[in-house]
Amino acid sequence: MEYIILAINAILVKNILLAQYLGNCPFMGVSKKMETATGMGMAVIFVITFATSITWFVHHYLLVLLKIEYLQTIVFILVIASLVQLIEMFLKKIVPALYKALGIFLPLITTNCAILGVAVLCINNEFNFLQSLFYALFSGVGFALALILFAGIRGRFEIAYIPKVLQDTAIALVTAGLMALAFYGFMGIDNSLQALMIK
Amino acid sequence: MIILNSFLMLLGLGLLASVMLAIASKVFYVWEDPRIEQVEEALLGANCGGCGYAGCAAAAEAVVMSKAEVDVCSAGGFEIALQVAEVMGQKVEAKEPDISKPGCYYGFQDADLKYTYDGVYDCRAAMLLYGGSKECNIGCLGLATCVQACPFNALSMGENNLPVVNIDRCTGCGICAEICPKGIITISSATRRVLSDNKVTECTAPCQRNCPAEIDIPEYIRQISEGNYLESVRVIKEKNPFPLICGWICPAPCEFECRRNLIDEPVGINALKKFVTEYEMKTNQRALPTYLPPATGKKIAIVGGGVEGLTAAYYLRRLGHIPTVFEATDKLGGILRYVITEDRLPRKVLDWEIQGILETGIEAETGKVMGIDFSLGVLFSEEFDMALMTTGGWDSRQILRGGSKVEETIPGTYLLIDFLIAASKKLKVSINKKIVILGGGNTSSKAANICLQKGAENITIVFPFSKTEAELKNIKLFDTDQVRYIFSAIPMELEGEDGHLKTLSLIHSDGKSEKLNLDNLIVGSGRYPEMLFEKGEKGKWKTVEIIKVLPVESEIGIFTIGEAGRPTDLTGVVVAVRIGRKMARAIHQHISGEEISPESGVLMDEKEVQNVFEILNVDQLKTPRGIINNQVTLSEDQAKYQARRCLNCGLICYKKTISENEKSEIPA
Repeated sequence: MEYIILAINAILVKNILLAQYLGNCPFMGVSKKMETATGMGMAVIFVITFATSITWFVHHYLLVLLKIEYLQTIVFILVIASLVQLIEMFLKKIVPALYKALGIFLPLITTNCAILGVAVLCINNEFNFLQSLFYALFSGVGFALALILFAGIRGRFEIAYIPKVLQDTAIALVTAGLMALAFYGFMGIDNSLQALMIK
Repeated sequence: MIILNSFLMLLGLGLLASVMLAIASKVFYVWEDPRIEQVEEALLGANCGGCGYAGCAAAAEAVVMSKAEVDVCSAGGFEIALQVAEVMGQKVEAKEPDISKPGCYYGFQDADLKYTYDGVYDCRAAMLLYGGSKECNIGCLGLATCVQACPFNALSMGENNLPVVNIDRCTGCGICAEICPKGIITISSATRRVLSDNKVTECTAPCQRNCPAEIDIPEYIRQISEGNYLESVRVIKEKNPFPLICGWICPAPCEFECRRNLIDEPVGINALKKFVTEYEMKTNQRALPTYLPPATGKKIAIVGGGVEGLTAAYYLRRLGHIPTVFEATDKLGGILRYVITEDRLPRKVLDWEIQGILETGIEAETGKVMGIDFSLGVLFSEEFDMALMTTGGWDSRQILRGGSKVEETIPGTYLLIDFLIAASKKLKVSINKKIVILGGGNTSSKAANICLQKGAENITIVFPFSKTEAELKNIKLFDTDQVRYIFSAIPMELEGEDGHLKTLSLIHSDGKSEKLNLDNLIVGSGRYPEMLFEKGEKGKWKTVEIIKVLPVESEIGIFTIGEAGRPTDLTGVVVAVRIGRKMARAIHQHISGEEISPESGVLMDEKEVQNVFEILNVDQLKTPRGIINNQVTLSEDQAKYQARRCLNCGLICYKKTISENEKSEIPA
C-alpha cells in the first residue's frame, strides 16, 4: 500500500514535469513527435532509476560518512554523467537494438535536472533504498506520461489554426501551463489515501 | 579536515569515473566508420527526410555503406553533394536543380465548388469530406498544408489561395509533393519535363491534351503575354524541337479543342508559336536548353535524319547521351526537305531549325544508306550501344538515289514491296535458303513464289490472323512441303550477328513462343516501324521491344508501332515529333535499366479531350481572330492580343473575367 501511494504521488500528484517543473528542456524539445516523445520517456525511466539507485549509495556511504553532504550537487552530477556515458557504451556493445531505440536520447539527459532533481528529492525525503528506487521509477513513469500526453496534444497543433505570434514554443508553454493546472487537480489525493490507510 | 576530505573525495571519484570510462570505452568498443560522422556534418542537418532516409544521420550511414549516392541530399543540392563527395573521395557532377511545381492554377475563389468548407485548417482534413470542396478532383484546396510542411520556408500562400514557390529557397526535397493529399505538386525540372507526358493528375488544358507533342501550350502563351519570348520558346522545345516548322505547317489540332471555339474563334495558338520562334530566328538568339546533363557516354546511332530521327537525337542529347544521326541523302530533313514544297516551308526555316538541333552537340553523317554504306553489324562494331531506326516508309525512300541494288536496311531483311518491285524490274536481290515472310496477304504468296524460283528451300509465312480469317480474305495458300504457315503469331524479337540475321522469335495467340532460324526476312508492311536495336556480346545484336512507348493498351510485338499505320502515319510533323521524343525516352529508360513504359497515370490516347461544353461569363469579341494562316506572321501587338484571348484553361476552370483592356479590337 505504501508503494501504491508512492506511485500515485510520483506519477500524478508530484509529477516531475507538471508539478515540480523539472526537465522543461526535453518537455519542450522532444514533444513535437509522438515517436521521439515515447523514446525519450523510456530513456528517462531507464536512466532515472539507475542514477537514483547509485546516488543513494554515494550519498549514504560516501558523503554522509565523510560529512561532506554540501558537495551533493557536484558529486551527483559527476556520478550521473559518467554513469550515463557508461550505460551508453554498454548498450552500444551489448544491446545494440536498445541503443538504437534510446541512443540519441541518452546523451540528452545526462545532465538533465529531472534526473538530478529526483536523486536529490530521494535524499531530502529520507527514503530508504527501496523507496528511492520505486520513487525514481515512478517519477520516470510520470515524466513519460506527461511527455506523451503533451506530444499528443502538440500533434493536434499541426492541423489547428494558431495565430502566428503564438506558434510553436509559445503555444506549447501555454498548453503546458494548462496541463499543469489539470494535474493540480490530483493534489490532495495522496492525503486522503494516507488517511484511508491509517483508518 | 573537511576541505581535505572533500578535495580527496572529488579527486578520487573523478579519477574512478574516468578510469572506469576509459576501461569501458576499450571493453565496449564498437568500430564505427569515422566518415559517417564527417558525412553527417557535411549534410544540412535539417533532418527533413527528403532523401528517403530517417534523418541526416541515417542518410550519412547509407552513403558510407554505399547504399546511397553522394548526392543523396536532395535538399542540399550540388554544394552539399560536393562536400559529401570530398569526404567519400568521390567525384560529383552538377545536377539540374529540381523545383517544386504546384499544379493548380485557380484558387477556390475562382473555381467551381461543391460546398463551402469551414473546418480544420488542413488540406488532409478537408480531403476527408468528399475529397475536398472543389468540383475539380485535382484542384488545390488552398489550406496551406504544403506551406507548413516545407522545411525551407520556400512555399507561401499567394493572393489567389494557391501556394507560391520561392525558387531561390526551394531545394526540390519533395516534402510538399508528398504531403499534398491531392498529389498535385510535382517536382519539376527541364529534364523531367522532357521525359514526362500529360498525366491524369495534372491540370492540362484541352489544347495541350490534343497536341500530339504534348506541348505546355498555356504556359508558352503566358510567357508570350508577359513578353518572355525566349523563355516561351524554351517551354515549347521541352516537347518539340521544331517549333518554327510547326508554326509553318502544323495542322494545329490544338486549335480544334480551344475553348474559345465555344464563344467565337480559337486562339491563334500555332500563329503564336510561329511568332515567338520567328522572333528567335530574327533576333538570332538561339533558345538553347538551359541545362545539359553530364555525358553518360552512351553512343546511340539514329538511322534516318527526318523529323522523328532528329527529334529523338535532340532529346537523347538533352538526356546526356551521345546520338549520331545517319542520313541517306545529302541533307537532313527527310520529308520536310524533299516532299513539302518550298512555298509551304521555306528551306531557310528548315535549315535554321536543323542547325539549332545540331548545335546542342549532335553529329550527323549524311549520304550514308543503311544496308548499303553501313550495316547494323558495322554500327555495333563501332562502339554504338544502341541503334534506333527511324527510316520511315517506302514512300520516303523514293527520294533515295536510284541504284541497281535493293538495300537491306536490317541485315537480310527486305520490305515486301521493295522485294516485289526489284523482282519485276529484275534488280539484284540476294536471298538465301531459309526465308520468313511476315504478313502481307496474297502478295506474300507471290513473294514466296519468287523465293522458290530463286532457290529458297524453306519458307515460313507468318500471319497475325487465324487460318479461317485467311480463308475469308481469299488468301491463296501453298500446298508444298517447302512452305510452312504459322497463323495467329506476332514477331517479338529479331536476333543477328554482325551482318547476318539469325533468329526471329514469335509469340502465338496461346502465349507460347517459338524461335525460327532464318537467313532472310521479308516484311509485309509498307514501311519499317521504329525499331530499336541493342548491342550484345561478340558481335551479336537484337531488337528491343518498344511497344510500350505510347500510352495505348493491347499492342505487342516489334513490328507494331508503324505497321498499323496509326501513330507514325505522318499526318503531321507534330506526330513524328511525338514519337521521336517517346523513342528518346524509351532508349533512355532501356539504358538506365528500367522497363520501357509510359509513366504511371499517363492520359491514355483514347481519353476524351474536352470536358467543358459551355463557356459562361466570357464576352464574344467582334473580330476575334483576324486573318491567321500559316503564311502570316503576327506583329508583336497582334501576338499579345492573341495571347490575351487565351482563357488560361485548366482541366475545368478557365479565366471567367476579361478586363476591358482585353476586349480591345485586333491591332492592325
